[in-house]
Amino acid sequence: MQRVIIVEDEARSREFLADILAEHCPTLQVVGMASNVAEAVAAIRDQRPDLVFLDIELQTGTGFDVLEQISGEQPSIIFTTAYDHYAIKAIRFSAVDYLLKPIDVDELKGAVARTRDLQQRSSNQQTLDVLMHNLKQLRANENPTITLSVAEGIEFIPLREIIRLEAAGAYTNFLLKAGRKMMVSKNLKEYETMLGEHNFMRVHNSHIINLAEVKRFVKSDGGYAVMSDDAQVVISPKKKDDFVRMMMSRI
Amino acid sequence: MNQHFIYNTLNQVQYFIHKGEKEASLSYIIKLSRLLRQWMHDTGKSSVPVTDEISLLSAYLTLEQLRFADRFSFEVVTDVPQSGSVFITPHLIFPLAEHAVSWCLRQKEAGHICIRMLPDAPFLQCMVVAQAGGESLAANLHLVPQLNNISRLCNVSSL
Repeated sequence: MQRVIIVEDEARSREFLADILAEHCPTLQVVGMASNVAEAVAAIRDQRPDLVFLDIELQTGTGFDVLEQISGEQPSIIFTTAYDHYAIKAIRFSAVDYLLKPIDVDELKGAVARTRDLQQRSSNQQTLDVLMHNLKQLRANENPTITLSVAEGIEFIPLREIIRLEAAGAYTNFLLKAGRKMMVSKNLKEYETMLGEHNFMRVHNSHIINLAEVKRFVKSDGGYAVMSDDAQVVISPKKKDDFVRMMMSRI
Repeated sequence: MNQHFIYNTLNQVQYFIHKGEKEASLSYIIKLSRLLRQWMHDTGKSSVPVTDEISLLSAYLTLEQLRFADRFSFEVVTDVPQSGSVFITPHLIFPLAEHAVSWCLRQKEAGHICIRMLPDAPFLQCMVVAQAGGESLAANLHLVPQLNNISRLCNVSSL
């Protein structure tokens, strides 16, 4: 028998979930219900459940606030949410289960079965740690910072400070705003995927540029971009169409 | 419209179906359909009659109120003469109504939401006021009827 706590802010949602659990998941026993963050934290500490159904949107906070406050307790978690928002991305990456409301009973049974396989409590904690880490990453992505190892030490550079990157043999030069320049002992390829998600583009074998820092595209001489620091960056012929499309699709 | 609201409403319907409450399920589905139909009908239009906007807001608040019966009450009223022939930009007030609901849900005591349209020549004044316990929240818009744009936006306190 797995002992279960339901955290949902709407009474009908709690009741519905409890009903369908009784109907479809006979190995579960609901030992408590909570409607807000404080009640949830107290119930989890008191009851020490095996499994918690945790609504992400609670009127007084979020399910993640509950998780932060119960570290040490290690129940399995199944998130419930009414819509597919940013947090779901973090949840998916962390391999934590979630159910979209209205709840599909088959999905519910599947998620419950998976928690039974994962009953080792240590793995629960690890999974949740990964989730919290991913969430922080997502939030930080509003203004991401890159860590660069340079000869003098380690530099943390906000991406918006970077105008472009230039290959220098096996090394890479970072050209920053205010004329700053940093050499890093990694090749350009290393940064292509990392920065690709953040509005950077590899426009040439030797160049990655921050698309937000492009001032002008000049068609003559095979095509080049003029950057905010007036540097001219050659666009390779096979990248030209992609580059123009990326620039046009920006608002 | 906050999609969260749509799925939560469907979730309510699921509850009533599960409980075998046929009347409540049907009533919910009809109310949600009407709201969605009107929303989609008005989307992309540059202006709609004040009466349409009033009925959209009432439909929305009715559904939310069904979900949170003990948390707030509401009224949507117009003092605009011939409001069926006065036109305003659609959906402009909707986010304020959504915000008023979520504000009420965060209060300890039950709240009351009042949306009122009244003439304030040459403008059309729209007040959204939410009150709960001693706390209150108010937005006051001055719309230009016919011309369909906001001329002044004032007193948007904590909205």
